[in-house]
Amino acid sequence: MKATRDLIAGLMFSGIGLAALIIARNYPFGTTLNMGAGYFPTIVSALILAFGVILVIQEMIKGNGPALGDIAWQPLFIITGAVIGFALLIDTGGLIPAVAFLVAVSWFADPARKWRHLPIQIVVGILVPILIFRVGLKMPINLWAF
Amino acid sequence: MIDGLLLGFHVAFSFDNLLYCLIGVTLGTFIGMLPGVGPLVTIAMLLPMTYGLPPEGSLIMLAGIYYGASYGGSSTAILVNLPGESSSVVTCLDGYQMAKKGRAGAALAIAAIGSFVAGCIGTLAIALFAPWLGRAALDFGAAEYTALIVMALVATSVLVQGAFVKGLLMALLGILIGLIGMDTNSGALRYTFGLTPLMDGVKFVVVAVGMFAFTEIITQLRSYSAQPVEATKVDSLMPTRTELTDSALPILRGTGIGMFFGILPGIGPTMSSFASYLLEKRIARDPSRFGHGAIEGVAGPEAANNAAAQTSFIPTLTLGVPGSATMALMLGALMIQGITPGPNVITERPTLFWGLVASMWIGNVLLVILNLPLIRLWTALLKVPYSWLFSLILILSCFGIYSLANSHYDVLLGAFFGVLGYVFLKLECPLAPFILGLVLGPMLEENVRRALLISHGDPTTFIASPISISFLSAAILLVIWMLIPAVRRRKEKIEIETN
Repeated sequence: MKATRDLIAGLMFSGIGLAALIIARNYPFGTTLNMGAGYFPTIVSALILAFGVILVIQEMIKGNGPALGDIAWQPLFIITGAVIGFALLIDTGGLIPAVAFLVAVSWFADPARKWRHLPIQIVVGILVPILIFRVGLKMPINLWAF
Repeated sequence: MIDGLLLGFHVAFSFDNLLYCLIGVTLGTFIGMLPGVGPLVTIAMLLPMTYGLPPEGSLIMLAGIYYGASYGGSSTAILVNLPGESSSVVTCLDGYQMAKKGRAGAALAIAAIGSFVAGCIGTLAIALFAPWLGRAALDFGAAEYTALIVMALVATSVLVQGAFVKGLLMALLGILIGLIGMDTNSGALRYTFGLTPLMDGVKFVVVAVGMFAFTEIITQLRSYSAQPVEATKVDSLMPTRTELTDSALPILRGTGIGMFFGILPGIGPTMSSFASYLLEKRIARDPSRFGHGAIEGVAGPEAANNAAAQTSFIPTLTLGVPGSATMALMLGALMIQGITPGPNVITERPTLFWGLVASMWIGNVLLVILNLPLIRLWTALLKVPYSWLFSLILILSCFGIYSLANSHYDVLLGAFFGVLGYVFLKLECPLAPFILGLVLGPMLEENVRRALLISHGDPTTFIASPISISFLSAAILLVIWMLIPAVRRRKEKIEIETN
């Protein structure tokens, strides 16, 4: 059996639905008259599980859906890593290190990157949020906190 | 209504609001013209910048960004065959062909005229229908709201591209993510996995920026070409007399279609521009011209999507039920301002409602002025290399999320939703139902709970009134309709034709 797009999607949704259903069992279900915290989550996750299984069965019968296209692993990892780095640096390091990290790391994901552009991109990248958020919107963001 | 409009123009013509409107449409056009940045990303990215404004100003500016971005999207569709958003996909078909034949200026002018006419009629329609709908909605109880929300969610899920089961699954998953955090009723923590930052729930802007901005950047970086796009040269903007007369009726028909689809919750500008294109092609004396630069194929859909963009504010503002992901963002903006959209908005916040209506009309005027004479200036934006763009979008997105609550956890969560958005994209799972589910989920739970409480736990309350019966049967009919093989084949055919 091929790992088609819809098959993977169906399995993913079934998994999420099942996990959410199991977790929802920990919340008080209540009654229809007085719904508990678990009532609505149980219905929603049961529906996700049901439709997920339908999607899997549908794809197993047809089985000729389009395959999963190739994945842009490089931009995916670099951009996500750059954003995570920004998140970890913004409070502890301040605006300048966080933006410099964000721009410098994401620069590697650009197929048309040029060395001579990098310094200018970092400087512009630091100036824009300073102008908008610190000067314009007067938000108290540390520039340099090390 | 006249009093309302007068009040609205009074509000909208104040110096501040006029300025916000101008900033909004300019920013919107600016960003909408940039390749690979649609209205959704634009609004999600700029949303945090409007927090500091008063509610009227914030909404006027956001609405301006929305129209501006749609206008910019149509221009790129005509000039470089790149639709900025899904609702201008059909504009590419004949608009770009016209541009290739040297009629780019005429296509842009007709698109602008069509949008302007539709915008004026749409604004009037809001002024007429919104108060009426608002009054009707005052009778809505929890059961009716439940039925309405279910219909909106089902309609959005079923009408998206591809398998509708995936649309429904995405809507449900959105509802599930919306459950994260403290249950407002019992105070119980749900799906927080012991993480304190999740106690307040997942912020809607975090999801929107993650899924639309980050995901978009990841896909663009894979596929964009380093060469800047070559824009068609714009010659004379004057359409010929035949072009004008040929467009008059399609513009009016498109406006009608757009207004109709815009009011229905769950169906937005995209559907209406498709419908208008198909109608024009169907009734044309010579349908074979379509796809080869037929002016009707630009005039109709452009009028339709602008009319729908206007009237989709009606359900969003008066019922609190948005019809598209973009409107869901607007709703989110309203809630951040502390306003609960619903039937009471018109009576309780008349300056907000009428100010917005009046500013829509002003925005349309500003857009024509901004776009037509300055189009050559805007096309220069098409030459901005993506290398510069994406890092700026990334920075603004990160700060947009961070500035919500000065919390770096939100940025981490945004990164997570960026990855999730990419997974959904690869699995061809539509994002619009997900966003709508996220926004409407908490509302749905609250209304289900209240309805059942009022009816002493009797589930037949959901089919007790004619209003809720009609909403629910509309939802069921839509699903059945999509299950008919002939309809499904036709939908697939249309999707292929227009891709």
